[in-house]
Amino acid sequence: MKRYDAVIVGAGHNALVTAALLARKGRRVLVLERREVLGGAAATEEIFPGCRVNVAAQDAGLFRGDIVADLGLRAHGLEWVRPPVVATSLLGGGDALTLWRDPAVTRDEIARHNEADAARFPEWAAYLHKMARALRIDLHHPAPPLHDLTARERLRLLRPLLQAARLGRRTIVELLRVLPLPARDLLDDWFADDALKGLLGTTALLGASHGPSAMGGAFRMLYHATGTDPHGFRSTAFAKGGIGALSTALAAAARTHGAEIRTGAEVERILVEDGAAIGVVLAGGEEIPARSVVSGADPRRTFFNLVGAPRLGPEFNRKVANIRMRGTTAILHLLLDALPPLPDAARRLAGHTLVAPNLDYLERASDDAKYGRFSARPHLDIVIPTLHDPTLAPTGRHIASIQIRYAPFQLRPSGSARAGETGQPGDTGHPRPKHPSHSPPDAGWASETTRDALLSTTLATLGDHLPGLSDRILDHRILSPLDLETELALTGGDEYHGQMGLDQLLFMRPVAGWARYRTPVERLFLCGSGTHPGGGVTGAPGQFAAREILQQRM
Amino acid sequence: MLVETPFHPRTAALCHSRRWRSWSGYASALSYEPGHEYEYYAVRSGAALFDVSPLRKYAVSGPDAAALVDRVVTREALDCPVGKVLYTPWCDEAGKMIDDGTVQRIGADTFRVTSADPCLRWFQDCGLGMDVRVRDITLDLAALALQGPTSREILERVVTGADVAALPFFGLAVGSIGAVPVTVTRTGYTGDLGYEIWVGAEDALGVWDALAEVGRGYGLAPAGLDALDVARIEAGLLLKDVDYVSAWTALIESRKSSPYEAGLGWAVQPRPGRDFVGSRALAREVDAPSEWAFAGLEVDWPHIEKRFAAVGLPPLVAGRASREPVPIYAGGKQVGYVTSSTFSPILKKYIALATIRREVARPSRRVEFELTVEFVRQTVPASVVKTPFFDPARKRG
Amino acid sequence: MAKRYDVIVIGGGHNGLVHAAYLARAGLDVCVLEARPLVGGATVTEEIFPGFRYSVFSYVVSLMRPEIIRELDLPRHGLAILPLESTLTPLPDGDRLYRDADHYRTWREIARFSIRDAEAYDDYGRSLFFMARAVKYLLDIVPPDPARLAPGDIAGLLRLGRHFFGLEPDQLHLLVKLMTMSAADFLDEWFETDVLKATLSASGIIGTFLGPRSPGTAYVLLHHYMGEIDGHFRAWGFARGGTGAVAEAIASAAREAGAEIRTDAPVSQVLVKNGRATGVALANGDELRAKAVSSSLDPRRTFLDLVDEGELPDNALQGVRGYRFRGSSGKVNLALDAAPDFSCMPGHGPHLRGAVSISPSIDYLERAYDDAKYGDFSREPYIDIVIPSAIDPGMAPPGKHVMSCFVQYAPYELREGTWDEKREAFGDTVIDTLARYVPNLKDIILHRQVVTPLDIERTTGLSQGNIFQGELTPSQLFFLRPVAGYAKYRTPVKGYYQCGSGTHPGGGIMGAPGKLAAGVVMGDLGRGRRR
Repeated sequence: MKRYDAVIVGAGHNALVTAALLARKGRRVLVLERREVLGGAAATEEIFPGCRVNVAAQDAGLFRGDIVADLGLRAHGLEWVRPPVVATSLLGGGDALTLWRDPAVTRDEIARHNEADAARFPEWAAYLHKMARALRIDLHHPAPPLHDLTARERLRLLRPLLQAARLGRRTIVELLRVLPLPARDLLDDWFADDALKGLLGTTALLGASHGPSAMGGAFRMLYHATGTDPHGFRSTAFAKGGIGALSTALAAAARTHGAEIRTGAEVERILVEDGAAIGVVLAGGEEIPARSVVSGADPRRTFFNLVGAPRLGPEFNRKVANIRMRGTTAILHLLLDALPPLPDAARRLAGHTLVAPNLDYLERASDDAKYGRFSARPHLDIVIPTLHDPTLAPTGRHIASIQIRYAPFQLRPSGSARAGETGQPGDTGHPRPKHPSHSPPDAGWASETTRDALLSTTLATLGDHLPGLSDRILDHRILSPLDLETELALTGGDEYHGQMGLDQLLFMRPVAGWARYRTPVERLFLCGSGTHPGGGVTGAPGQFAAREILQQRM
Repeated sequence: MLVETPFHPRTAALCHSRRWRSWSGYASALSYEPGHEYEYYAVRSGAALFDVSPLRKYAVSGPDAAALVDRVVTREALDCPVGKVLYTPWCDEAGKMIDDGTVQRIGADTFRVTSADPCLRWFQDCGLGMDVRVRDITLDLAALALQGPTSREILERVVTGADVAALPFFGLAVGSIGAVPVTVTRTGYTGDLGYEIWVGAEDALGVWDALAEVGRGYGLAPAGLDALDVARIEAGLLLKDVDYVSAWTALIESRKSSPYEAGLGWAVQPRPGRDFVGSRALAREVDAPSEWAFAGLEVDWPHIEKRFAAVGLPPLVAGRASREPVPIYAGGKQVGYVTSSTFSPILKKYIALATIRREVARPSRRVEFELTVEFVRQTVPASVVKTPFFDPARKRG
Repeated sequence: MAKRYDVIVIGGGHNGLVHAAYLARAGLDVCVLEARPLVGGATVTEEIFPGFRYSVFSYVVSLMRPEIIRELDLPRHGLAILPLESTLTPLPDGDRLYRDADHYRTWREIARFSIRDAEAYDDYGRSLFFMARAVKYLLDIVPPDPARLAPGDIAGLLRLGRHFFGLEPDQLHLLVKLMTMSAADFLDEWFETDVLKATLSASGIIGTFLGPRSPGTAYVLLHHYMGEIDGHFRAWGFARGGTGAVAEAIASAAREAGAEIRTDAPVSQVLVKNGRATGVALANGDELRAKAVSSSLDPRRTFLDLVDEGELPDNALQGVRGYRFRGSSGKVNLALDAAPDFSCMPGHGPHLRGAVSISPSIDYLERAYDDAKYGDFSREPYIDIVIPSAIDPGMAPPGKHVMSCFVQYAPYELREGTWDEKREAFGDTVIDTLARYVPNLKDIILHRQVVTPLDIERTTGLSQGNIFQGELTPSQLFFLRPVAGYAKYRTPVKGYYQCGSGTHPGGGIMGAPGKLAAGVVMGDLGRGRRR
């Protein structure tokens, strides 16, 4: 029987990057994907008849160029689309603020709202670019372990240090100052216009359950600006044919190098013997032995569901249990018979179209999530992929895919949690009179009622900002955070495999002491977004994981 | 503020000495009479009744109960038969001791675990992903230790529904005292023939009364912590936070102890495929043993007498057990320290439990014990000996 | 010709006084200029209502560096710090969480809610002890500047690196968590009991404009764990005679060492000639000359109000303008005819000698923050109460009491109306909130003093009423406090120094900024430090 060097669990984009890079170095690789489509959260599927829809992720502006080059992804059909519009913020009453790829046009656009801000914007774009570059030095090197550095690791550590030194120490000090800042503070320092700040603040919300006043937002703004384009926001790039085309190209590259990829093959368990991974068991009972196992699943799923907590130490398990995986996003896909009636819609709606009129709006939306409710007035991020690839839907039709924030995975019943209410009662065994226990909500995301309520809330908000849209809806599909967990295997509905907070980065991702893609189980590696440098469609965790794995003897 | 155990109405009435101390926040008698000698001799010649309710008690139940216990403790618990009790330490992932206690197998899927200090969170967290429930039953369950040569006869007369006479060392039986259901284990902290009786807190007083009533004819005396301390040193039994420091509270690495360092190497039972918490670290320690070891010491009594006599004093070391750490020397260098010591009334020897360098922890190795006589520090010779110091045949027989 | 001092210290708050005392002990000729008629700044005791002595602003002592107490021999100058023994957190349903120095009692009390939490509480305390010990190192050093390559900075950074990278990975991670997480998330890793998390997180939000779910609040949790009395971490204390007694003791030590302290002497300007401070001009027009001038005022006043903008480079100006204050707290001081009677713990128990924290749930605190976030004071505020007269009978007439209520949130910037219009409504809200827990409260109030952030600013000069002279957030700590490049107590103006809470290591009655700055000034003036 064939013995694989590495069995890779899941065919998300990071896992495919790892698979392709390992196969390219001659390793015998088998990728096992539970679904029938490749890409995980970066997949394109026929959600409406005759339409190909990006299930979750839309934008690939952060995907690393060197992976594209190394694996020759263009030869495997990958084609980027960089629309002239980066993002449009809908302000109600037909008003909108658009950031364009052309800085001069952006400037004019902002000037309609605020002259001074327009004048400052180029400086901001340069500042953001510089800071993002400085951050990239940290992010684009595998997090060094902080202890027991070998001589070789010390040498490797020198490279980022030298790069950092070239940027200037003042830049580094400024980076240290700015990283923990709330988006609001950073933006208040630069701009006066509410609409502009609302738009720019949205990237601070990605991968976090907090609003724009929360510390660490500036870090996430920089993280999403690490793409190559210096427009002062995010890169905004799409793959022709949908984001699934990226995954397909990665899979093709992997196969070219000899990797096998099986779909419809759900890994139920990772086999561990004497503290080392020796293979996997599929849902049907099939055992596949392997010299090593690489998991693209999130850390908690990998350790608790696939390995099993009893095989790991309790202290390690506590750390894994404490990883904050806190999905707050729901997704609504709409099939439209025409674009919404907005002037210049085909151009203005070609990037990210946002409902984020100002920072207070975003803040209030996040407030709801703090108390376990979905936002009464949500923040929306709409992408209409049919605008850059009309073949995705039948002629004349459009697909709008909408990220809805905030829709917390953990809902709490309204009216509960008044002053003094206790959390879940523990096994006390001690007399504790008085407190009536509140029963947990029975109607969570599993209930149609909850989803319908979210749908109508979202449609109402859409109606306020894109009047006339609702008349054009032919079909819809809503994915709650619970659906993201059950369908895409995202624990807690967290599409980042762990919140992108400052305490869950670098040597602390996924947990302190295990940041080098290795795990307490020998020959079990991680390669997903839950590892350094983190989530989003970047390919970086998969690439760095492959590097680490290739250093191991097989 | 000290709280009361379920036996407090009885113990308070008997505690003429008014000598109480905190045992985990409970009022616990040091001795019932002004001195503890009578209570000590009750342990060795009659029977002594100790209120040990302040022990923490946990109920472990569910299909994975045995798997959890086996994962937590260093001794093999998976195959422990129903009706057997294990004494065992448990460790953190680094193989350092957290606590020690007894594991009672009540049924196929039911265990009861006792510990010195609270461990619920640890047990529950070790059970993550297992089908098992751990409950703290400390308040639900009162406990008495009945220890001494006549303890068996007393119990035989009091307990119905269980054959106490047939109960083997570290055995467990379920029976009744009057109408009250009790669990009896042949365990204790004195190194003598003895039993522990586990009873619902609401029924505690009736059990006490029944034992006291029958015990009157068998030299039964209520006994306090002072007597217990002397007896347990004679038996070579460890006291947490005295003879070893829990890895959780040690603050610094050097204060922590592995079971090997604490003389509990026999209780570490690795087996291929058995993965208990700390097993990997302990396996490494077997390959590269620690420089520290546990030892019993017998201090040469004539020397002690002589040193005191030199200043005109009788040997002022008899009396209560001491928990003062005392340095141990060999060849003029400090090689360790005594953690507990006492004059053994039955052996007429001065004995001590010590942590010393491995190379000197060999039976009959001579070392020097630091003795302070009239404010002047001196040393007296001592020998490394095997523990227990006192080990009567009736303990197991 | 007028006298020329060695050093003029602007502001007679506790840091200004500590600074002056150390300089005077080194033999320098020092003059402290205080705008108010009494010394202390925010560290004052005033008899606002006859017979009742209020610690008007700052009300507890914990962070005061013990070496300052020893070196300045403050007990001989009258300082006595009495421990606060307990924290009582009343719940709206009449239950409560009461924690005191009795380990087992506190254990049992928490175990009523959750045994797991009672066990975790010990673990949590130990972890924070380690963290406080790791971070305490920072309290005693002048922050090195990573943007410079002076030998001292490199050595300082190396020492710092060794110190922190010497920690175990888990401990380092814990430290980063503390620096970046929200108090609520941080506490979630240990506890399940809401009221326990709430009352612990309350110390994380004190003095910040952040809620318990805001990232960054975990750090302040630690900041408050760093206080030490008698070598024990996390002991809170109360100065006999009120917090003003702390300032008076330091002032007395400073005077004894030869410092001159002038009250009613507001400074209007620092005199600068050729980029060098030469003295100060008082509001009354007098000019005083000195070799060096140290400001204990907050960074905004120190940089923007006292010197001409033309003297400051752009990076300093921008930095100070972006420095955030955002006062978020107020005080209500009460004179009471009798002891307050808490419905959850009736009578004159020892709980009156401790702190009482109105922080029944995380959501309660978070809602209080939400109100403030949108520009209003909290409708149901967080209140931290001490009753100094229960510990120190000299604070009120026999049988009567003073009650100090620290209140959050009271945002400096109100969306509607002014603090002058809303002061009494704010006071009423606090009393109404308290009365739910203290039924007899309204009947025993003899006098109340409501202190809004605007009042704090007006009286003490603290910009926006921020009690720490600027938020304690990672962007404003250590070598970034107050501004990168000027965190070593110097300013762009030669001979002009900073020594207030707006510098490292920050606010609270700690004295460390004043002492560390004194070391820098002495070094620059060529005086060795004397112990």
